[in-house]
Amino acid sequence: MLIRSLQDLQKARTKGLRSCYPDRTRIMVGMATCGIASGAADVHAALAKAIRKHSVKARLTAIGCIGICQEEPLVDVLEPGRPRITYHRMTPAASEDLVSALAAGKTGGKERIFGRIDAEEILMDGSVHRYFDGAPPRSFARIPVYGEIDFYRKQMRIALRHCGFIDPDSIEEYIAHGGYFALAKALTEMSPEDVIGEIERSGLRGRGGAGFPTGLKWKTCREAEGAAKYVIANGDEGDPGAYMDRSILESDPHSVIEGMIIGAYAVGAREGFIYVRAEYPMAVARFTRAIAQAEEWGFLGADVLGTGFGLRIHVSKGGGAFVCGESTALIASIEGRIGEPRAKHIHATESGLWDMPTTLNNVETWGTVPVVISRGADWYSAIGTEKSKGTKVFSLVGKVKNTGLVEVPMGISLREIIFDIGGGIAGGRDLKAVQTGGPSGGCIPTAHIDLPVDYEKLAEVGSMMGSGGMIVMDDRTCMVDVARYFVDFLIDESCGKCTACREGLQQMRRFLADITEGRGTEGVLEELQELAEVVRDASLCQLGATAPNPVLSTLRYFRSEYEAHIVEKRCPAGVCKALIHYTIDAEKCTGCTLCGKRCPAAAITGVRKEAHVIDPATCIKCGVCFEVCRFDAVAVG
Amino acid sequence: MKLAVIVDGKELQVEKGTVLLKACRRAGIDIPALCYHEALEPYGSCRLCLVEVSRGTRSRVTTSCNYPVLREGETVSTCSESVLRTRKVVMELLLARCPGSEPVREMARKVGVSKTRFPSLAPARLAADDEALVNCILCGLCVRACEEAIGASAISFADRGPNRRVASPFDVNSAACIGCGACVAVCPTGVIRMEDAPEGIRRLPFLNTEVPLRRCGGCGRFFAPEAQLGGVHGKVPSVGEHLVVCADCRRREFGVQTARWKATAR
Repeated sequence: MLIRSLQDLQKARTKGLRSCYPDRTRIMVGMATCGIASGAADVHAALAKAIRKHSVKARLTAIGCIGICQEEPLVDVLEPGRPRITYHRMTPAASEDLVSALAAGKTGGKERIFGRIDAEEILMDGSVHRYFDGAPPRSFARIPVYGEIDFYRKQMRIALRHCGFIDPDSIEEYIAHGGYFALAKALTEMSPEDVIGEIERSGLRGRGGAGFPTGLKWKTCREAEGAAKYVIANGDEGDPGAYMDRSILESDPHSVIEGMIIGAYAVGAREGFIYVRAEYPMAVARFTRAIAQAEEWGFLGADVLGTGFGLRIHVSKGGGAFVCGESTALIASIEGRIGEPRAKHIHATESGLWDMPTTLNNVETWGTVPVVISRGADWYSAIGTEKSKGTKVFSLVGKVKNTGLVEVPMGISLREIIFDIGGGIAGGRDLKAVQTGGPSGGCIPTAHIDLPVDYEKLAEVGSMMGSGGMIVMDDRTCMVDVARYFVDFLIDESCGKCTACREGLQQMRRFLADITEGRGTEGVLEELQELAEVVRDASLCQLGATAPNPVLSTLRYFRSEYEAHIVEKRCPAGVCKALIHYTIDAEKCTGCTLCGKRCPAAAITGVRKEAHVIDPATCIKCGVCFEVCRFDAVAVG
Repeated sequence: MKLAVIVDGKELQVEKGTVLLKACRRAGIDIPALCYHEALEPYGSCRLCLVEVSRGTRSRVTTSCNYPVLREGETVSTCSESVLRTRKVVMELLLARCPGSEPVREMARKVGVSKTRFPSLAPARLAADDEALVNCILCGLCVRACEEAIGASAISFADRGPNRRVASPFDVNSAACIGCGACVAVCPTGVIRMEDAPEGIRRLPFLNTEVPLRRCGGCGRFFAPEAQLGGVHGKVPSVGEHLVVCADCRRREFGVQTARWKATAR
């Protein structure tokens, strides 16, 4: 179907709405990578088989990730005139039961019900689509409602607006949710300058981490002279534990394409690239399909929506180097050169890809653009704090009860994210620190737990927004060990071009290894601090400049923990193997023999119903005995 | 267009876009650097040429080799306290990387560093007996000279982070190498060497590369790599006939001809 006018688009929307809300049962399986890793493909196959077997009139579709990844596989059932029911932790057997219950006209799988959704907000135009009229059927009344579940209550999903609500392979369903209307508005009602003005007034800043004002970037690029101009989407997400870009590309690829077309129109680009890691095969496949659809429907190509404006988007796959997320390295990699950074004294907006003016934005930023155009700068800038507008997606991971992708308005406190949305610390432990911004972010201590999250506030406490990684650490985390872990990661991922990062990080690791292995001497912290500051100040790119953050922030907030390692040769959190030993408290030990059975080194001896003993010479300090003991008899010190 | 820059209190008039290091050196202000060469694009890898650039109330430490002068009236300090302190630590890092390199030690002395507090990481990086590899500071001058000045791109960087090194493709004989020796000439630490073996082979052991040499049609000795002479011939076809003899023979021949011509003239 070729869209040439607003009427065409309206028609497509009507058709898409029928696909989203058919007049028969729609069963949806969360089929992003997180779902599939938890077994969603088997669940999908079991559902398909059961639907055939029971001859149920139902349409089975894949949807993206709705965010609460730890509850995957998730299945949603939407029967006409009823609330949408979400089932969590589904299995193939439970799927069969669910369908057979549906065939019998019942609501099956009650024990796996996670929540219900009564209505969807169509964010693009602010309308609400209710699944049924009046009050929910009585049998559904006690099921918790989506927006009132702790995990979702404080969230505001803008970049993730369609994730988990539409079939990512269906352009109709994207259009049904108001997709490509922002593009039509920009191309037909607004000049490029109007678009840039709107983005500028919205206060949107780069979601890749640096927070550069998007409107200003576009303006500089538009005003720069060049025979060609380019737009690039940075999807080279490499932070351990962060996966919001992957989720957007897998769950709602058209939102990024629409944002890129609007951006290209604004800056005057005729060609665009998305740089996405090859380790994201599903994101690559879905995005590539989405590009083909957009071309077929006339949103991409030589004549977009019949306006004469043209854009082509190419997919460029990264080879897995973390440093290629750095803009200049990314550009070098697209050009076919070694992916390593160069100095940024001249910005990409003036001389970027093939030395032409280039606008490079993160996937999340591009995905947000259509909303800003559609709802307007005033609507968007009403969300957030004075200098950080809108929402930000975080990957909430670590020692927190509810893990997953959360999108929250800027200015929300860390406490609300960790305790209200995240449900607090897993296992009843205490919060010790939260690390934001990926491997080169800082560790924020409990004292700053009420910090409102925005670009400036995170920087003030020695961390950063970064890509939005958020790792929650409990009291059994050793901060020196954490610093060493991240420095190790960054050594591996450094391109090695400049002395400060390549040599400096290796020397920092030496210091950290000495401390964690009991060889730390007096004065080592001052040396480490000085070196970390030099790496920060003298590195060529932001990978090196931010790499010392985990060290500098832990030195700032957890200095006494470093000192315990150096002076007392003790790891207070009981993590650093060289400084700990496991013992069994004879008073508490019941002689259940469990620890002895589980010990991989056969270091525990003892007979049933008598206190056991650990042989320190054989013990490999793996901590299994500590984990398995039900009587709290194993002590680490 | 000329722009004014104040370097260490002295005003320089600099063509817009000129990098600071070049402007300073031309004005007689020395800034230490190991990866900079005027004939090549700035690279910014050694991090020794740090300066502090101030504009209004904002100042920052940056490398001068790739900092283009684009605005009027920036103030630059080549020896502020933070510049000297940072540079000293960077120098110590380089010294720890290759403690056995005399050119690196000489540069260290120049910037006031007599020893490094950091342990050498060389053994962890490479086989300890491979001194040449250990002493490479990865400045990239060889790689850039080969690509930018010669146009051969016969060598490049391989691997990344701590394992980064200069290498021929797949560590085997580089088919693109013309044996010109530009990498040897430009290497600041002297780890890239070449030797012409009597059997007519030029060897660059650091790059696992050997190229055949051409025998002089006059005196019969090997005088230059075939590939290099072929390249010159390709660029300037008219000189082809002169490339069959070595430079000495060519001069001698020219001398004989000149003498004959003079005698005839007389």
